[in-house]
Amino acid sequence: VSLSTDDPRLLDVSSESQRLARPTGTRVWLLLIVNAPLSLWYFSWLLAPQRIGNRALYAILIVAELFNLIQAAGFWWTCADERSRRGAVRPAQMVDVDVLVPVYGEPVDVVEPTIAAAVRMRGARVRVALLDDGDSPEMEALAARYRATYIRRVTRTGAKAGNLNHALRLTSAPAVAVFDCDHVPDPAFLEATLGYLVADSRMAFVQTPQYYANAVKGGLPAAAWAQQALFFGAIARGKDRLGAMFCCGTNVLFRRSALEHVGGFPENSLTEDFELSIRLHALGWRSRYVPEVLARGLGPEDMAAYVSQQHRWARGCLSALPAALRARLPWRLRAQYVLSAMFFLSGWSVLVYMLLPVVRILTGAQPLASASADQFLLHFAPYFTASLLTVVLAGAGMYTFAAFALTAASFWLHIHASLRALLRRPGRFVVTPKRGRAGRQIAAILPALIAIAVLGASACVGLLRDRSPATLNNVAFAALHMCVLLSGAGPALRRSGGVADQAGAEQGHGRSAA
Amino acid sequence: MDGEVTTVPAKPHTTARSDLTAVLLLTVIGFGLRLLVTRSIWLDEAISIGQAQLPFNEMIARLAGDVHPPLHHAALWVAVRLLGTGELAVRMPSIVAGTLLIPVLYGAGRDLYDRRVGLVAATFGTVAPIVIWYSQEARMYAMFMLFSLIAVWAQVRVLRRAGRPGAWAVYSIATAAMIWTQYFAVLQVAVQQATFVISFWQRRGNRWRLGLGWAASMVVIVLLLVPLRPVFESQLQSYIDHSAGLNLPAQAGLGATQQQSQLSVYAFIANVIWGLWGYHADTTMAQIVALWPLGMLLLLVLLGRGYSAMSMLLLSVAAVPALALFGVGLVQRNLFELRYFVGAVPVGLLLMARLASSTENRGPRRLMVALVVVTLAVGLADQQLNGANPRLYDFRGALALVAARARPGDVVVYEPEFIGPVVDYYAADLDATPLSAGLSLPQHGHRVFVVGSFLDEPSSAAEIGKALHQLSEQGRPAGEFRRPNVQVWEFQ
Repeated sequence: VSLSTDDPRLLDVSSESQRLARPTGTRVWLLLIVNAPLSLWYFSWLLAPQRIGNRALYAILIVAELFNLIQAAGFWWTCADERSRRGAVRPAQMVDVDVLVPVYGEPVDVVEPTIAAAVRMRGARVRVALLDDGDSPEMEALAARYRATYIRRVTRTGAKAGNLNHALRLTSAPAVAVFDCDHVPDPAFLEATLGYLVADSRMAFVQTPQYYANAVKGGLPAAAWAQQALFFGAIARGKDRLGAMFCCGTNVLFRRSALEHVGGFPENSLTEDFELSIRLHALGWRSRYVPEVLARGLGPEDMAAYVSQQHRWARGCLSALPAALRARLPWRLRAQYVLSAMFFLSGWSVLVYMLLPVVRILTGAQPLASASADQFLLHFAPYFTASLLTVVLAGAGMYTFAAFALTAASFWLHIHASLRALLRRPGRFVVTPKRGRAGRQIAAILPALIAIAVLGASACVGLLRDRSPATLNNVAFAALHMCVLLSGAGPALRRSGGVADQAGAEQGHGRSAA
Repeated sequence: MDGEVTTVPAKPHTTARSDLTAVLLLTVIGFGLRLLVTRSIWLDEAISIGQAQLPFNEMIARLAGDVHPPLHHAALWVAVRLLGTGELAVRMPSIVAGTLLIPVLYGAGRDLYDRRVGLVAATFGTVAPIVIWYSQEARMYAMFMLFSLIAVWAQVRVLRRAGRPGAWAVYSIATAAMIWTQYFAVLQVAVQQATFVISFWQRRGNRWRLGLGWAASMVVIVLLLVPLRPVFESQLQSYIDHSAGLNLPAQAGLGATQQQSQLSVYAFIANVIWGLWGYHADTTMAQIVALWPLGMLLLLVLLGRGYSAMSMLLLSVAAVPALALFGVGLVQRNLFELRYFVGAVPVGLLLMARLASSTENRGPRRLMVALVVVTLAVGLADQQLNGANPRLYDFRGALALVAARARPGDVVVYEPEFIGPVVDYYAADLDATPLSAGLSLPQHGHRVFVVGSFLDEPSSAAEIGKALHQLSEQGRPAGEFRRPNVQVWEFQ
C-alpha cells in the first residue's frame, strides 16, 4: 500500500485554520446589543395573554421558541467572550508521548497516512500504538512497517473506550495523544499542544479541531464540516475561554495522570469523550482548545454514515445530561454542558415548526390570536434576521445553508435519540464508516421524506381549498420547510460516488454500550 | 487520437463579439418593449408636459412650486421642442434612459462580477416590469435609475483602482446628475460617501491617493450642484409654506397594501416586490406578500455564501434608502414610496443576477435564471395588461370615448379637479370643466358627460354622486363606460 497523492487529508489547510481562529467576539458583542432588545421585543409581544389562540398549539410554540431562545442566548454568551488566553509554552525537555490510534475494520489505505504522519510528529519522543479491534493481519503489517506498536485485545469490551483503556494499561508515557484512524496528524501537533500540559499541572487535555479534509469534495462531507466549523470556531473558542472545552474523542492530547484519576475512558457511554470531560472537570482538571487544524480526517461521506454518527452523538450527549446536572461543576461549566447536550433536542423544535402550518391548513387551528401576519412579521423578522446574522458573523461565514438543511433534515434523529435516552434503551457504539457507499440511501432519510410528503400534501390541500393570504402564508411556510428538508436530504437522493466500505466497518462495534 | 476530447478555450474576441451581439439584441428587445406603451399619460406627466411647453426660463421659474429638481424637465423641454408633445415624444427621455440601462447593467455586471452576471443582469433589465413602467413615464425615475447604477459602478471602479481620473469623473458627474434628477438620491450618495469613509479608514496602501481623488470628486460634485441651489431653496420654501407637490395623490398610493394610513411591514414588502416584479392588483399583492416565509428561505440560502465588500456596497445602496424612507414614512406616510428609492432597482437587479447565476452547475443555474426571467415576464404582462392594476388609469381611453361621442354644445365635466392637466392633454378641444366649478346644464338636445376618477376617495365620490343624482332628475342616462380606474357617465 502506498500513500495516495490525491488523498484530501494531505492537502494544505492553513486557510481553514485561519478561519477557525479568526476573532469574532467584537462583532458578536455588537450584534448582542442588537439581539437583546429585539428578542425582548419579540417575546414580550409573543407572550402577551391576548396572543393565545389554540391553547395546545400556543403552548408548544412557546416551548419551541423558548428552547431556541435559550440556545441562542447560550450561543451569544459562549461566542461573545473574546479575551485572549496565554499561548502554549514549549517544553524545556523532551517528553514521552504515547500516540494511540484505535482501529476497527477500517481500510488500510485510510489508516496508513495516519500512522505514517503520527510517527513523524515533532516536539516529543513519540511512541505510536495501533490499537486493532479488528484483528487484522494487514494492520499488524502496517504497524510493523512504520515501527509502531501493534496492540490487539483478547476480550473486546467497551468499544473504542475499552480499546483505549486497554492500551493505557500497556503504555506508560505521561502524555497520551488520541487520533481516530482516519485523522492524519500534523507534524507540529505536539509542538502546538504539549506546552499546555507542561505549563499547567492541572491541565487534563488539549483539544484541537476535528477537521474533515474530504469537505473539499463538496456534498455531504462539506455540509458536515460546515456544521463542525461553527462548533470548532467561535463556539469552541468561547468554551475554551470559559474553561469548558470538552474532549471530542480525536485529535486530543491527554495527561495520563488525569485519565488515571477518573479511571480511564468511560466504557458505558456512546460519547465516551463527553462524559470523560464531565468527570475531569468535576474533579477540578482543566482543558484547553487550540483553534488550529492539526489533524485532517474524513467526515461522513454518505447519509447512512452521517445518520450513524449523529445518532451516536445525540444519544450519547443526551444520556450524559443527567451526569452533567449531577456533577459538582461550577455553574458556568454545568451550563455549557447542558447547552451542548440540549442542542440534540433541537429536532423537536423543527418538528413543531413543521407541524404548525400543516395543522393550520388542515384544521384552521392556529397558535396565535389577535395578531395579523403583518404584526407577527414586524416582531419576528428583526429577531430572526439578527440571530441569523450573528451565526453568520460568529461562524466567520463557514456555516452554510447545506449545513443548516442537513441539521433540519436530521430532526428525527434528535427525536429518536431523546426518546431512547428518556426510556433508557441501550445504545450501540457504531463506528462511523470512512467511505461513502454508492447508491441512494432512502432509509437514512425516510422520516424526512415522510415530513416532506405531509407538508406537500397539506400545501396542496390548502391551495385547492382557498387562496386567501392566510392560507398562502401557511403554504409558504410549508414550502420553506420542504425546500430545507429536500436540500438536507439531497445527498441521500443522489447516487454517491463513494467506494463501498469494507464489510464489517459499519457493523456495530459489537457490544452494548449502555 | 480517437475518443479524446480536448477543450479549446474561447478566444477573447469571439466572446466579446457574442456578448456584443447578445447585448445589442437585448437592447433592441428592451427598446421595443418600452415602446409598447399600453397606458395613458399620468397626472404628474401631464403637469410636466404642460411645464415643458413653456419657455425654458419660465419653466424653471414654475418649478419653484414643485418638489423635483429640473434635470428631467430640461430633457423633456428639449424633447418637446424636437419631437412634439405626443405620448412617445414626451416619454422619449425616459425610454432612452430605460433602454440604456440594459447595456449599462451588462457592463456593470461584467465589470463588477463576470460576463455571465453581466448577461443575466442585462436580460433581467430588459424585461424588469418596474424599469419598463418608469421607462414609459415622462418623469424623472428612469433617469434616476440610470444615474444611480452608473454612480455605483463608477464608485466600485474607483475603489478598486484608486486614482483613475476617468472613474472619478464618471462617479462625480453621475452623482451630481442623480441629485439633479431626484432629491432623494442624497440617501444613496450618503451610503456611497460612508463607503468612502470606511474604505479610507481600512485602506493600508495608497490611502492618500484615494483621499485625494475623493476630495477632488467632492469639489466637482459641489461645483456641479451649485447652480441647483436657487431652485432647491425656492422649492424648499414653497414646500414648507404649502407642502407643494405633495397634495396630489401618488400614483403608487392606491391599493390595500399601500393605502393604509399607517405604514406596515407588509407595505414595505409590497414596495420591494413592486421594485422587482412590478405593480399588480391589490388582491394579487396581498397574496404575494403573504408568501414572505420564502424570504426567510432566501436568507437561509445565503448562509455561508460569503460576501464581498462590493456586494455589501450594492446591498447597502439598494437597502439603506428604502429603509431610511420607511423610517421617514412612519412619520410622514406619503414619503415612503417606491418612486423615491427607485434608484435601488437596477442595483437590486444586479444583485439578483449575481445570486441567480452564482451556482457553478450549469443546469440549476440556467433553470434559476430562466425561472426569474419567466416571473419577471409574467409580472410585466400582468402589470401592463391587467386592468385590475390600481395604477393603470386609462384617461386616454375614457377621454377618447368622450371625444368620439361628444358634439359641439355638449357639456363635459370631470372630477376630481386635479385630473385637469390630463383632460387638457387628451381632450383640450372638449372644453371640459371641473365639477367643482359647478355643473352648468347644456341646452336642450345636448348631452352631458361626467368623467370621474379616484372614486375611492370620499370627496370625489360624493361630488360625482351629487352630480349624477342631479342629472338623473333632469335628464335621461344614456350610457356608462368603464375604463381602468376612470368612469364616464353620459346623460341625454
